Amino acid sequence: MEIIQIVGLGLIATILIIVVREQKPLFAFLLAAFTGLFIFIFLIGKIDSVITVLEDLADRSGIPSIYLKTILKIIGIAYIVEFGAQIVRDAGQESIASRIEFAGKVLILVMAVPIISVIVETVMGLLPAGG
Amino acid sequence: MIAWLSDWLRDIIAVILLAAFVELLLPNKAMLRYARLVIGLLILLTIMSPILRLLQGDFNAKLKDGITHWDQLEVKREVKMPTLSDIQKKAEQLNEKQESDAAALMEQTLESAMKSAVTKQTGQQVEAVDVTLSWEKQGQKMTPSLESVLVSLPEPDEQKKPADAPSSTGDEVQEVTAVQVDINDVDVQSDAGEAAKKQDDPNGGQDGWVQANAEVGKEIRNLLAEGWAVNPGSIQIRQRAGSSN
Repeated sequence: MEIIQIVGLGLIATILIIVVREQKPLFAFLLAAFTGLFIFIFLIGKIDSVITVLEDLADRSGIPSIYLKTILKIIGIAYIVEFGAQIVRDAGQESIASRIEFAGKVLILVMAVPIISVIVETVMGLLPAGG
Repeated sequence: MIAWLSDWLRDIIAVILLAAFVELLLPNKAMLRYARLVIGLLILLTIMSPILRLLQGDFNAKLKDGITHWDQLEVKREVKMPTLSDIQKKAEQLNEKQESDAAALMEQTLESAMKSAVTKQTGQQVEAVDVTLSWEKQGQKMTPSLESVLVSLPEPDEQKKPADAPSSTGDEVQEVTAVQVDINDVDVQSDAGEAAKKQDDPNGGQDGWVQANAEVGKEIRNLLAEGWAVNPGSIQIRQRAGSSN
């Protein structure tokens, strides 16, 4: 049961952080960051199975692989941004965290550019040429 | 017809399922709006696919092309930090260029200084002075040394007597001696011998050029040797071939 391990780890880390924070706030932050990193890496392997299911679904329905690629990229960006921003936010740097999130949003929108260009081209093609 | 319709519907359903999955997977709400936009575009594309296919053939290939093109653009746009070896190579190139520039400048200055000195001291008109520098490695640095000096005199018409020249203005020459020039003294004897031989043969020069007459030649040679410590053997003096020589 991994959930027990993870929750246990989280509880222990929380208690340790509360104990240490009075003496050394820096160590408390490091402990928090490390715990977050550990849980993230622990769970990133589990997402693998979910992604396999998604790929299977895409394969069987015959939708183009490029759709799935784009969607997976979006998920990846979202996770990485969320993780990094959360750690920075724990350290008290709210402004930097929001910059990281902003970067993630921009990169997700960049994903959409080729799709938008295809749609726009089509709409342009629908319009009568001489109009 | 029914088969095609069911294919299309299956596609749409699959994409929408995928979108629902993604929304579940997304970690926070802030990203949701942006992800939703992209996924919505994908769904739109799927729904429109029959029209698209009708209008412009295989749009999927086009989309793929667009995305790969975009990826390549992004890779190209990435700022590449130059490596240390790159920087060092560049520095070396710049150094070499600087050195060659400095050498060229030095040659020019030497040429003009020699020209004016010869004109002043001997009264002899000088057409051009050609200085060749050679680089010698001394430890880490390359140091220049005078390799050869080629003095070209114009056609001798009314040759001024060398005796006319003022011989007391040695101070100009003294000033320029500050230029430190390394001379390898080893070859002095042989070079001097060769030069003497050349001097003996008045027609030994190239087309249109002959050796200057011995008196003038000797004077210029002495002047340059004194003023710039040029190896007398490496000085060549030639004259435009004229009627009187």
